[in-house]
Amino acid sequence: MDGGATWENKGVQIKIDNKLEYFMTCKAMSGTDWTFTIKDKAAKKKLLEEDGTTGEEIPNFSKLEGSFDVNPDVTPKIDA
Amino acid sequence: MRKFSTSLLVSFLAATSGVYAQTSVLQDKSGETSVLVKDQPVIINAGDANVTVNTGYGWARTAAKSDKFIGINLTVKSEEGVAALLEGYKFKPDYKASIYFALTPHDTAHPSTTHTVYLAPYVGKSYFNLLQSDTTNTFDKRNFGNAGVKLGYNLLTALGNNSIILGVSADVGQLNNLSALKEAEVYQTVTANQTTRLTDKEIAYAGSYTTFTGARFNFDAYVFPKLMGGLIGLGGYSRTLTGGPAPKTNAGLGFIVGQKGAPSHIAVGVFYQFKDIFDQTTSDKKLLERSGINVVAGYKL
Repeated sequence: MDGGATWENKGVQIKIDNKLEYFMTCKAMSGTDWTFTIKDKAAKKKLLEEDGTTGEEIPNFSKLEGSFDVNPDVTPKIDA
Repeated sequence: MRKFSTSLLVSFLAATSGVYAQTSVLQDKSGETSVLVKDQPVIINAGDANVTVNTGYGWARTAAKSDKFIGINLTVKSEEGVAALLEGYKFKPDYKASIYFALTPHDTAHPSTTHTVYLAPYVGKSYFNLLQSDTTNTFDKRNFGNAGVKLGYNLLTALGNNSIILGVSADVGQLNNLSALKEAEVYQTVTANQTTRLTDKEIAYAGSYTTFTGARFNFDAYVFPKLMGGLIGLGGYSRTLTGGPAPKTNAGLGFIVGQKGAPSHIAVGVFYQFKDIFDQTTSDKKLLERSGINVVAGYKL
């Protein structure tokens, strides 16, 4: 993020049996690099990591959304 | 295992507009600005052969409708350059300390736009020499303490695909007319063997010194053309002083260069500043003769 700001939702525990949907928006001056990460702290692995730069489609703005399947036997935590 | 909902919506809003903190490289020769840039704790202003170092820090707390920031800022400088700051017992820098409160409402309807308002009370003290009006070429050591409050508004928006930063601020407090006085260099002389040496140079101000309650109005506007990679901003500023014996408006034009991947972290700014553009102080110099270049550099730790 701009200036390395990290936004973390601590202590969030979610049980998911198949699919995780995510949606992220970032407002920063066009040209600002960002990284969006979803980690499974229990399994100590990254479930998702996307990089981007604001302003590629809309000035001073980025949007990221999607979904992915997760292992039903794992209880992932969201860290984003 | 009990099954919960089969899907989850993860919403992540990062309102890091990059237009808030206590100060920024977008400043004039005296360090004044209305645009606050986040995460740029060290700034060096080479204006008028003085060096100004700014440190600022801010942090954000997420909220439902807005982000809130609080931070501190300390600016130190010497009227006689950075060397005097480090000259043993003479370490007595001018300083200005302030605390700021900023608010950035979430504006999901306009994704390209970020508004920020801020309030910054401050205190400061400066030390200087005032040349006596007699012919002795001696001076008095004086100091000036002041306090005031600044209210400002910043806007990050877009024109086409280009980013635009606008800033306005108003500042009310105790001021003096030191910038309107003439600077004189005062030396001690030592004569020996028909040779005169000039030693212990000091700067003293000559003229009628006064203090007053006044207001300053700052305006900044910069565009970052996408054609130039969005890293170079073109624009300028105006600085208007009201009240006191010499109200005036200074203005500057120039360019700034941001860091790749973080264009709001301005690395360097080069400005051409015009003093008293409306000639309110009826100077005997033409406008171009009242102008000069200034270089400001920023560094992110």
